[in-house]
Amino acid sequence: MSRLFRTEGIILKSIKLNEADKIVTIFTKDYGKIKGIVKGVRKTRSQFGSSMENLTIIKLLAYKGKNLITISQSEIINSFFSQSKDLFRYGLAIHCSKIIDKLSAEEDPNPKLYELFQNLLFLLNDEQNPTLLVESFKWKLLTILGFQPELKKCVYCHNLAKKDEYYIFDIPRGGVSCFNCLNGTGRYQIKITYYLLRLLQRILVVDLIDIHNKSLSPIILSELSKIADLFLNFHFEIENRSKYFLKSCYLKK
Amino acid sequence: MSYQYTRPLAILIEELAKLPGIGPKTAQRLALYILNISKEEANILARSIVNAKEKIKKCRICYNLTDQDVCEICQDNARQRDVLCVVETVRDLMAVEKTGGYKGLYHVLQGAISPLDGIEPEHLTIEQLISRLKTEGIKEVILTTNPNIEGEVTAAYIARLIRPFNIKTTRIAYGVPIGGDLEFADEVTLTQALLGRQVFKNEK
Repeated sequence: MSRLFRTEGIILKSIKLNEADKIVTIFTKDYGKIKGIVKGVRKTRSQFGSSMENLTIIKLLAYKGKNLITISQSEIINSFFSQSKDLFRYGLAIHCSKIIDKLSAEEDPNPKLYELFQNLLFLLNDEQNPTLLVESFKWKLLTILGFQPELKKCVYCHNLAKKDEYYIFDIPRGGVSCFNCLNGTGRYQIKITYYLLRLLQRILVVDLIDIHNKSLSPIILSELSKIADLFLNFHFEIENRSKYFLKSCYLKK
Repeated sequence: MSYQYTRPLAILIEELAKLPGIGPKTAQRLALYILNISKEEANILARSIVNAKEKIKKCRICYNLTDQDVCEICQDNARQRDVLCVVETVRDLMAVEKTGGYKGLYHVLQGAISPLDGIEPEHLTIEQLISRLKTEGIKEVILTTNPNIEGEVTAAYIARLIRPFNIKTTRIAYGVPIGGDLEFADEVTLTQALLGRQVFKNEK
């Protein structure tokens, strides 16, 4: 990393510093996750304006000093601001940004992951079925990070019964097993249908942009997110907090 | 061996350094200043801290800071009682109040919804706001949360809860700050400013 560098990045989170400054965590394309000081950003007349808001995709120019990175200029590529009135999409997007934040190390570039996250934010705006998009995002992210679930072979017998009615997703083992190989289900052993298994297999091969399925039932969707949440919780201790947020939004409706 | 402050001075410096924006050097300077002032002055300072801490609490109605049960603004009968300005913090209330252009009532939320930081709607005074709307005969709610994502989300959340009441709900305008430079305005702000443009009114 040279002293003065320019790159693209997505704002993951920020904390307030001093009177009008912020320390923002940015997931950048070329340098991975970085933390930088943005001076004066909270002033109304700041040149940064809304570019340092969470989930904004920006072009940035930054300077690396001895200890700290200072963000000196920024330009917005895509802003989430106009979408923030849609509480549901906001809750989903903020959850994804939290996963990225937790699973990426500082200054460890991962262009593939960057591209995936950027695509998600672009697509989330128009997608009819945001839940499916976000669940697919989670599995693709795990695949990029080396945690691709085993969906072709049984994690116990290394064969997989073809077209069985039910299978079991064994979360600690990180993959699917035949219904007969496991003695029943448990907290981390989830029974899934053949249809759901096919859906998961498809998610892993198809690009994020091509994942559409308007006819998915809400039950399938909730099972899909249950498995992903348990997986993230078991292996990385990530809790889906935005679920509580979304619940509280929609129960009071 | 490094120099060590005498015990009472060390404690004073340590306590002062806990204040926001005060580092060890500033704390040292303040401590030495306090040692130089007269005993009465020091007493006034100490008492005013304790006094403020003991007497100031949150208004029962709007959650503004006050030394009474109900704050001055809520008690003031000269104010317009059917307009409610919803702000995030007391500092925002003070900023709006400083304009002198607003004569209605307030409601202080005590923050903004931010699932990332674990701040959810239950942690704010939103429920209390809704019960005020049920009883006080409010005709307009002005959502004056910060123009950032958390503030927007909070405004959207409240607006949705208010909808069944059929109360006029407004949001403060987004736009370019007066004295600012268009060249430096970011795209989102400028777009919002264009969308929210108004008919130009000449002087009467």
